[in-house]
Amino acid sequence: MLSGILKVVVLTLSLCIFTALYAARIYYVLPSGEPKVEEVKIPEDENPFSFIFNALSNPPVGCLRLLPEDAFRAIYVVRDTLYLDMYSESFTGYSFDEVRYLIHSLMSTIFSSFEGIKWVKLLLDGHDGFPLAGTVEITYMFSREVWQDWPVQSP
Amino acid sequence: MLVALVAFFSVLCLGLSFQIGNVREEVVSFKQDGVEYVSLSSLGKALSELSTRLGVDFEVGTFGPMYFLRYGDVVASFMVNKSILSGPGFVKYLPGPVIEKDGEIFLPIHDILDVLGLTYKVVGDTVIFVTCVIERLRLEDGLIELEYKGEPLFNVQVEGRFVEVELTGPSIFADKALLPKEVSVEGGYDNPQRITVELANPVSDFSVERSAQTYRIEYSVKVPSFTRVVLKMSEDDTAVKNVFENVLERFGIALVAKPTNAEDEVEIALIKSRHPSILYEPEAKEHEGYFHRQAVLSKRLAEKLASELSWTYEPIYLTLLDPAVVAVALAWPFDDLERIAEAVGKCLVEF
Repeated sequence: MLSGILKVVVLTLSLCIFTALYAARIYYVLPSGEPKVEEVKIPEDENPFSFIFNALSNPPVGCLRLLPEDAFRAIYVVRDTLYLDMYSESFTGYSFDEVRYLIHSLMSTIFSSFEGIKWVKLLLDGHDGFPLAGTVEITYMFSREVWQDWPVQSP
Repeated sequence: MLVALVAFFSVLCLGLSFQIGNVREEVVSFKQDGVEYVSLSSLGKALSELSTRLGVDFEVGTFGPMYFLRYGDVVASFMVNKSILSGPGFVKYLPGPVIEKDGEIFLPIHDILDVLGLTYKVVGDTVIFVTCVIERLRLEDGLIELEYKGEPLFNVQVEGRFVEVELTGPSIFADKALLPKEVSVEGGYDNPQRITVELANPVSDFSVERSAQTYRIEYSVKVPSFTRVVLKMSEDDTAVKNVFENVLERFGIALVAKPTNAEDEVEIALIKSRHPSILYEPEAKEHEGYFHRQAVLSKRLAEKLASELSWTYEPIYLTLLDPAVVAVALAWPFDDLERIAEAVGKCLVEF
């Protein structure tokens, strides 16, 4: 009985997470700091997270390449939180603007592509005690509420 | 030949001009035997303009062989070839006679101006008529009052704690007594260009009321929510800090070296960036509402600053920002420092 309920819960959560799987929105960043949003279709046999991160690592011509390839140690979901464990060495030499737009690009892409994800937790080499590229605090989780859309606003 | 030479050296064209307000006009004038003369027609034209500006009666005419000038309450009479100016209750002996030449009447300029009670300054070859005489400056809570005679040549500007009254034309202080310590006069009593009143707190609103003899600036001040700023930078930059310190001081805001977590303290982080923006920390899940107020105020301050500077604003968690206090970061190329610091001061005062 209990395992049955558990299966239903897991299935429901999975459906929530991958509802928008076939139409992910990728937020690339132009040199001006403006976003360039592209809708992509994720093939059924692809890992959706790997697919969108791979897309971010290989931006179209004219967009900034902010996410290095092979930057992740591990990617996993716990309930409604996506954990992104990254190699700290991948981000050495990042300027403030690069790391700031990397965060916005990553978060907006994730939250606009996976409805079931409510939080993103960044880790560097498995820990959250050190800032990303020396400036961005990763002790805290990034929320859907704030980063669902491109968060840079004009007054 | 000798007579012609004597005549040439004894009569010199002066090239004198009269200035009223910003209008300057050359007048018919000459110097003879060391006395500076001006034509009655030039003088009459200037007095006519002054009478219009200052609302003073003016008349010029003849009475038998005598000429007279009436300006306000003063009437001065004179005759050609006589060295006397006279009127009700006074006789003034002139340094030279009134001259008739080429159909024009000429008068010793300084004597006639003095007799008519005009306020003027001579700068080079220009006689500048002062059309605004400040007789008194009174300070009260919420009020700056200027008593004046003549034209209200005042233009008021307010910046933070400073109320500046720009004098838009030739003016003078009638009373040379010391002004209150809060008042400074650029240009001095005889040639004031700008009167600055330094208040204890920044002005939040002001209005101007003008009557024939008084110019009243009524203002209200705001005691700012934030009176102390902790400036944070990834690398200490004394020059940047100094600009912020000087500018914020004008808004009644002091820079403090270290956070004290006081209620009236705000943290401002400065980050060098190509893309100008105001950054704030949104409320994080980990805070569980502990810093809700700070997060809300930080975002509101970021929005206000962005609006003031025409920049964008955005959320991000930064090591330079403390979620436990109201804090924002300014990211820009570190240019235009004074303007940015002024915007910070203005926003904090109005916050």
